[in-house]
Amino acid sequence: MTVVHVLYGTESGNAEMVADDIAAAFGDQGYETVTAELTDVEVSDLAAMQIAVFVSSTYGEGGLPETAAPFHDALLTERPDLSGVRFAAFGLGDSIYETFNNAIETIRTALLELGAEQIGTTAKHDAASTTPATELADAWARELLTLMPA
Amino acid sequence: MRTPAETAPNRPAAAVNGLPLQVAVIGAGPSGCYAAQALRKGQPDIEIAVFDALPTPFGLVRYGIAPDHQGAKAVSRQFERLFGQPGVAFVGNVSVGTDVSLEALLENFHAVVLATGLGTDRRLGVDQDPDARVIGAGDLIRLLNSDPDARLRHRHAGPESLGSEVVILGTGNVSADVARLLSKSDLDFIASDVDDDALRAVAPNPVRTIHILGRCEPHAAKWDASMVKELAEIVGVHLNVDGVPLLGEPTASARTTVNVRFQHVPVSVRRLDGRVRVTTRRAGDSALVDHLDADTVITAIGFDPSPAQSAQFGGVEASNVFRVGGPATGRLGNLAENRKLAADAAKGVLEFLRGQEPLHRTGLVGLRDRLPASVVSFEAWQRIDGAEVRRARPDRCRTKFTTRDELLAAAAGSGALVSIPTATPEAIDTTGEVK
Repeated sequence: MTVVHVLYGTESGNAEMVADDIAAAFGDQGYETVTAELTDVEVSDLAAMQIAVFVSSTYGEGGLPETAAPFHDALLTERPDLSGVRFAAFGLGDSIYETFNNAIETIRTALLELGAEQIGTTAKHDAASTTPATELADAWARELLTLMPA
Repeated sequence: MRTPAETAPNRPAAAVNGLPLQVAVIGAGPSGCYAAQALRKGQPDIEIAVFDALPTPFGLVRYGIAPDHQGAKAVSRQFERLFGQPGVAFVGNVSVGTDVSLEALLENFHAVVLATGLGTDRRLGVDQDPDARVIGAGDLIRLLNSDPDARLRHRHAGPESLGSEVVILGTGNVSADVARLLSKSDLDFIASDVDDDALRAVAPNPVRTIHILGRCEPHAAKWDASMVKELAEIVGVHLNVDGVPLLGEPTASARTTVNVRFQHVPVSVRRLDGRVRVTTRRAGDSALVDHLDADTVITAIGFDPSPAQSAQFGGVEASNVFRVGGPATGRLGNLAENRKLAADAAKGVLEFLRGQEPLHRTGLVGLRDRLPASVVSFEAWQRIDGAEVRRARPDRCRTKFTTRDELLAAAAGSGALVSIPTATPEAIDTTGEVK
């Protein structure tokens, strides 16, 4: 059985809520899920993950949330070979700022550079929109489910 | 990294004879809600009652985050989810210390978390004419957010115009919020929930000149650069920092000019010919004195506990009383900071509870006879919420009720403002949920 790891970086908690929603969507389809804040994840854990879903908000001048930055730093320093790792990416941001959704791009770029393969499209929620993040998360996760190995 | 088994929701609980632990949180603002959220994540079967003196939850998320920053307000969706869980109750319109005593809470709950925020704008503490027009930024933002208790609403003649020239003291995000709210045009408020009547009362015309004075050097300003940039990018606003335009010279004439000046330490606020004169000394060279005349001075220099909060909870010390947010740190901080602090505090609460001898506590059920009849449950709040969204102007996301009577009428689901609803004590069932 495929285990889906949902890994989030958050500051105000919205990305954690989205991570819970994504895990629930996969859980409803019979997948085993593990939800973890990026501070609790070692870069060396990644290679063993079948599917890793990254969820991150963007802070300040387009920066990573405090809880995601050390993980990203470790990725760039340790540079593990991630070929064979499949990941998906969900970002949260607010389009009143120019650097809207920059953090998930930062994470995605690092993962791709290290050989990981992205599945699905990168979701970019806009807090300034009228769509709640949980709604987008649910719809996005369902689309992602159709791309999952049987 | 946690294994699936470790994240399973039903870990052994420190329940007493099979009964859940009971925690009361006083204050349904972000810190109180984050603390409740972290308590439930750490101990999923813990029962929590979150009290608030207002009929509405979310505290400063509703009344302190600027109404044109709806993205930041979306954090309330997390809290809606929290209150949607069985075992988590919102107990609104109940003032702890007045309607129900803190002692009563301590008798009925294993622990009490004080999350009462900081309700008052910090005073300037300089030589100041008592009748000079000086208002607090927090008070102004509460007014523009339709807080029914906003002090500026309750002036004898209602909120009055701030005039065409305003001085804001302080260079934090609250200062940037005020400058932005006072310099935006009506079009810039599309999709916000700004209190239009209040905004028109305080700014019948856009404020023409805004002076922002900071004591520190520019690099030490507490505001986020993105907030200042947002202000400078409003169409019709021209922003200068120490005389230098932030985004180049304006192509068209500015509606509002914002002048930020650093290293100006206020020494006095005087009334002069019906206006206000702010006198400052230059940091580093106190012989350099400047005078600025304006119609109104707005202080944005931080927050303190309100006198009522201090009287009620200031001296309370007990091993099962915990503090989060403003009462713990003495400063308000942003959501992210307070979430982290609330999560740490929740860990402390759970450690304390797990280390205690089992005591029988009934939680909200034990208080049923002592709560006022006009208590507002989360379900009743959702009726207020729905009514505010339904009555919104087409270009606003909601139009808030501005009085407690209106809020309570909407809570009862009645369109009539005259009948104030009452929840009978029987409406609280034995599961502890307020119906």
